[in-house]
Amino acid sequence: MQVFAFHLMPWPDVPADFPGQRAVTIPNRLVDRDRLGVIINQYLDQLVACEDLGLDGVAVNEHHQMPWGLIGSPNLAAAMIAMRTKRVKILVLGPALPLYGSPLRVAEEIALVDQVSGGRVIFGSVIGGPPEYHVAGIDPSEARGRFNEALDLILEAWTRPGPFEHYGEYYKLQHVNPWLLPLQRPHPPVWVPGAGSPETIDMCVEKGFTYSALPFFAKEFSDQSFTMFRRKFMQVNGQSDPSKLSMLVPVYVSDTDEAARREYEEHFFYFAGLHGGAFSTPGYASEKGVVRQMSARPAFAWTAKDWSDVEENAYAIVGSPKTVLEKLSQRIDETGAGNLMCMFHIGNLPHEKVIASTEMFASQVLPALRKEFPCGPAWREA
Amino acid sequence: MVTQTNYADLRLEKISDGGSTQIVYFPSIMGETRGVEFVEALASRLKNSTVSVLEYPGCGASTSSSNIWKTVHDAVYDLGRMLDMLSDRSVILIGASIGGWLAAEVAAWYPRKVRGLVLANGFGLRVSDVPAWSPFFEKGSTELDSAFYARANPNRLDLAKTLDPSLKDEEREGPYGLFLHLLRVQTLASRIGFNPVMHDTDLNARLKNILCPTLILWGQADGVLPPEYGQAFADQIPGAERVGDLGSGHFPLLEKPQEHARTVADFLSRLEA
Repeated sequence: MQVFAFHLMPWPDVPADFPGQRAVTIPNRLVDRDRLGVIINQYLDQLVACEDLGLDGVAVNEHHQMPWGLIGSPNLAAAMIAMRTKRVKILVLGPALPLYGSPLRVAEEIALVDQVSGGRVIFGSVIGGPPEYHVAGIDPSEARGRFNEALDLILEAWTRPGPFEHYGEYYKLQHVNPWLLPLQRPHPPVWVPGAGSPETIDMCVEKGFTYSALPFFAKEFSDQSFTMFRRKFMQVNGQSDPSKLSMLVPVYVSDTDEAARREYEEHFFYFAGLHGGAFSTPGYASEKGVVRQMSARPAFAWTAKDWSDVEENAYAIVGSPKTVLEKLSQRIDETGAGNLMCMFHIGNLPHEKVIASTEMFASQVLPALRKEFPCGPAWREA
Repeated sequence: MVTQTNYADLRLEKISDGGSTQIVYFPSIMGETRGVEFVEALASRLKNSTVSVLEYPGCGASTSSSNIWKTVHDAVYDLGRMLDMLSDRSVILIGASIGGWLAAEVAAWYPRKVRGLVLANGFGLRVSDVPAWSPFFEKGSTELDSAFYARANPNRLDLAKTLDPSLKDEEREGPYGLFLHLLRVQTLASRIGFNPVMHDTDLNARLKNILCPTLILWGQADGVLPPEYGQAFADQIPGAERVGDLGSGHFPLLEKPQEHARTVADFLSRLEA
């Protein structure tokens, strides 16, 4: 069982009654430039602290033009963390490959962090969220094609002796020959997030990538994605491997269940209110994937009506160490995920509360989780 | 009478077969291809013409993929080949919404292939300081309760009913048929017009190449493409006539099919005379 700390790095002060979309066009005058650096440094401190607390890794991701997540460059954030840590794995869960001009830039940046960190990088390659396509001006109907081609090219650039040519549908490069290669051989582990689209699950199983089920869906819907992955994996490999599955969930630990909810609830709903809204991205998902989501009519963390909704759908796991341990164990059993990403910071949760909760998790929950799942959870299909 | 024929990987639905004058309708961003009252009314008025409706690749009964068009220039090239195969003579193009953009492009690139042009609330241009509403923003053009249709359809024409004949049988039977139909047209639109959004930065300068008589018919209550966009087409296309429909939104041909069939038929009759 590997446990990571994941961070969205949101802006903590968007007025709740601010009208309109929460992404792309929400005016950037709402950001206080003098506080931005202070806040981002606190966020980095929260991740760096996880090294001494005994977590296995930390995770950063990529968003653009939205208070939901401020880190436009996960590769840069990963580089900063690499310089401040010695042991933890660094999961870069961006970069959103179709949004970069040349995939080779991503290949080199990831390789750079892998080299200076002593081979601690996990390469989480993402397709990018719908709003990002509106920011980057990339036709979303090309998203999947660009993503697949870019990922293949990056892995090829890391493993095939150069120079060689690449003339694909989207990227044309006469000379592929990066000198900046990752330390890990043949290349850093690859994780790919997904929302249950059969194409992504098939790709992960076929290529040996870790499938990282996207968070914030209601439990019922995300459980379907986990089940689809496990079945497909068993069908192809004939045996289980929990290390190929990852789940992400907001976690908060305090002395008692009552105190935890009291300290956390308003910050959860601030986070829920940051969700960007609808952004049409034709062709971004396959028709099969779109129909699956429409027919399942999944609820999301940002549609939660009240706290019982949050608990029922496992949008966040909050409580005393005992409660958090019980609920996390249950979710790990249900999903079969051998990688747990805990989002200790949420919305506008104050820094000291994030640190206190992470410390309680590390001292009173993590050891028991490791004991219960020394090799990850057993899969019911196995 | 409806027959289908494939030209250059594109599919045309023939609505009437009255003579050698070919009239082709390029549908709007809703992909209306069957049971379009405007087209049928026009066909019944112009008995000496053959009227057809284009099916966009990847949409409706088309067997091509929307991937065959990666830019608007791919579309123009294919449409030009289609016109070559359709007739030895030049043809008349009527385009609405995204179809207006494509019709204007074809007439500008291949002025000798087009003998008459009708544009109804066509995309394709960008007017400075007059924002157009993107069919991709928010819920976009795939859901009829979106901000896009609130702007495009201020008179609340029953679009689901208007589009029903254009759905494939399998689409009509499923719960998400209308959504998927609109998604397919929107995906095609995204291929050619996601960025820059629904316009071609060079079209404005190219419109002066158009040689044929042109009618710009504009729903003035369109909140997607305000009247300045109609004026921009009229200003750039030599000799273009402009008819403003004060009451209609983005889909004037669907809102007032009989009235506009008469307007267009009169314009085309003068042209033949």
